[in-house]
Amino acid sequence: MVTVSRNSLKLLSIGIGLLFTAAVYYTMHYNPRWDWSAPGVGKLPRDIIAQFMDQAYDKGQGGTAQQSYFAKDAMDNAPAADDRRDGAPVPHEIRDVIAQGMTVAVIHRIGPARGNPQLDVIDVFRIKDGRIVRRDRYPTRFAQ
Amino acid sequence: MANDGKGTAANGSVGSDRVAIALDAATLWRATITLLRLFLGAWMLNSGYSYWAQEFGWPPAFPQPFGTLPASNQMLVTMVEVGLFDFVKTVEVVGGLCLIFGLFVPAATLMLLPVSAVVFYNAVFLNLRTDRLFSPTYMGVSCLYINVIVALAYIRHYLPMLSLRSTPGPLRDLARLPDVFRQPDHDHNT
Repeated sequence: MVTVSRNSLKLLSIGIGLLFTAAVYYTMHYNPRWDWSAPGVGKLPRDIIAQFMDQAYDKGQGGTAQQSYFAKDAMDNAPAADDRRDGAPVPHEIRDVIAQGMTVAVIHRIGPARGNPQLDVIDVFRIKDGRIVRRDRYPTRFAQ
Repeated sequence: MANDGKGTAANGSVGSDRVAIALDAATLWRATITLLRLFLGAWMLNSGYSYWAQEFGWPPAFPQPFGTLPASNQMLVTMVEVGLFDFVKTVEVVGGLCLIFGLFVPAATLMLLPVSAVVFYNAVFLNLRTDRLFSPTYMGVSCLYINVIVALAYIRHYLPMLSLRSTPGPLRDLARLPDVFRQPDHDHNT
């Protein structure tokens, strides 16, 4: 049997707790499963898409945006879209954004730019690990 | 063995600030519960901190996971969007700190139980990780197991509120709240 100070035991347990905290932080932070370079890591899917659109349309930096926001093996059924190339800003009017889980649907009117006519589309994005892994573009025509 | 509550015991108080520890099963049990409590606290603190860290632009331990399968994605994203995660992650930080610093441990353990239960539900029923149902290294399930074990170890603190029959007390009972700071639990070594 050993006799120890109650305060020493208390301090020891707090020390072990803080050690556990540091160990959990270190183990999780340096876990290779996280891609810390992804621009949307830990962010909500709708926020990731909003940032992508800001860069690709409002700033006209689609080439840069697609390199950072689209995953390397991403599927995109509109590979020639203006939002994947750098150039003049592309005016667009977002009519609605519908997000559910990791899927974000953007209903928007893309204004005439870079020699292309106006286009009404529904872009459906799928997010994984902070990047866009799929984009399905559905051309449509708004009533107004 | 348990402290007899009257002073010196094989594994109990030998004075106001000293405690005798016998190398027996009771000590092993208490040490195990203490380590589980501390680990649960460390995990909860990291989980809660990581969420708030990203909100404030600090380096998180890990990015907020949004699940693997659609139902899990939907639940977690919605919880963040409607602001419920602000509440959940605050509970994790406060509860985690309480467990690590040994303050209000029974209350903190109880407070964290619904969080652990939802984590378990998300892992097993929404992400279908039944393959890791008994994996001790998978905190998606282990945090609930640890939480329940720690709660059971503190069950004597819950017994009064599990009364079969009870009556409400007067409002002046609120004046007894400061007592929680004046009653050290000398049945515990840590």
